[in-house]
Amino acid sequence: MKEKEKVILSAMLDDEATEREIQRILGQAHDAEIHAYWQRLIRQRSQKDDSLSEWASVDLIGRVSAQLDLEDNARSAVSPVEAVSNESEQSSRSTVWAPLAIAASVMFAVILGVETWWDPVSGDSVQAVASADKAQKDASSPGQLSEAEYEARLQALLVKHAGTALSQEGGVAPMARLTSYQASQK
Amino acid sequence: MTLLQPARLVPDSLPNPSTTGERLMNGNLKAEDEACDVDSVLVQRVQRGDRRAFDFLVAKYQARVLSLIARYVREPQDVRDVAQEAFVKAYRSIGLFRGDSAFYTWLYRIAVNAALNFLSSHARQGIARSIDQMDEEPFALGDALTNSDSPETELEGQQLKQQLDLAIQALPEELRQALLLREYDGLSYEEIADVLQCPIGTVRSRIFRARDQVMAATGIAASA
Repeated sequence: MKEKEKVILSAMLDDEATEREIQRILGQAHDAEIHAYWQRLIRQRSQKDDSLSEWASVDLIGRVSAQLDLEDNARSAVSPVEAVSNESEQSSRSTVWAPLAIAASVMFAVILGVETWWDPVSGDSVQAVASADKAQKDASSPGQLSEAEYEARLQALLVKHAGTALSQEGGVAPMARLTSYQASQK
Repeated sequence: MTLLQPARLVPDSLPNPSTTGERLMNGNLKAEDEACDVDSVLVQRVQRGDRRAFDFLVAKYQARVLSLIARYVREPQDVRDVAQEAFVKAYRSIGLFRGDSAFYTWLYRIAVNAALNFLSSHARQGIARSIDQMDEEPFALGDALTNSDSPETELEGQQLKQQLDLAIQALPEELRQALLLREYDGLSYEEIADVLQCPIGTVRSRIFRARDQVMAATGIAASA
């Protein structure tokens, strides 16, 4: 480090440096000697002050810098998750739960279907519910879709609805609806 | 040891503001070469993402922040931790600093809040003073709560001051005068130039050389 830089640092300590000079120093801030000299100047001043002399030799720069680095690294490591909004968090939860919900729904449907097959009374009741549903659907259907298309769409919608509701802790009601619908197809 | 009293160096009539104006008018000083607020320049650099500029600010204010926090927090290690936290908070929120107050005033508030937060979260450890008391009289607590009263610390401090006094006493007269006018009387470079009847550049150079020699004589290192 040249003497000129030392003079500027000394002037900076007294708020007597020009902006150009400060920028010049900051342009060389990568130079450890510059920092070291600045710290020495500060220490010298602190040591003549009774209230500061006790702390004049403590150096927090390394600690502060290390903590900032640590936090920055932690942020960058977590950032992909942080960047995801709550909505996306829900969708990621759905991604986990959806296959399980579908599997559970299918299993439920199979069990209920078997029960229906073995128990005509309850099958009738299920069919009655399904028929009512179907009638309602027919009433609200715009009539532009064929029956098969409509059923396929409704099936997909119910499966999706069941998965989403399960992932959002919506209970088993959607699955019940799904199974009732599937039972009605028999 | 008695140092040369700076007051004896100062004449009764210090330069008045019109002197500065005249010198600017006469072209002795250029407006763009005027001294500026170092903190403002450093803060602007930090706000643009220059971490190294923040290191300059930490170095400049760490002793003051540590001393301030030591008025609230007893253990030296806790003082360091809280001060570190305060500087990190300052860095993280420096984008919000608009320069309405001095940088240190802003930093001061952050440091006090960090100390109070520390106290409230460690209240169960039996800190003597309540937070309310701290809020009411933050400046009156220092001596009671720091460990600066220990005989060893006091002796060490006295020795360091004595070393500084000796080193300053040993300086050549012109360097010593410039340094004392600056450090003990708080005169600006321009005022010192008027007192010593020399150019500002000479004052800068003399003060730098005085400091450099004192640091060499006392063995002041960058950090401990």
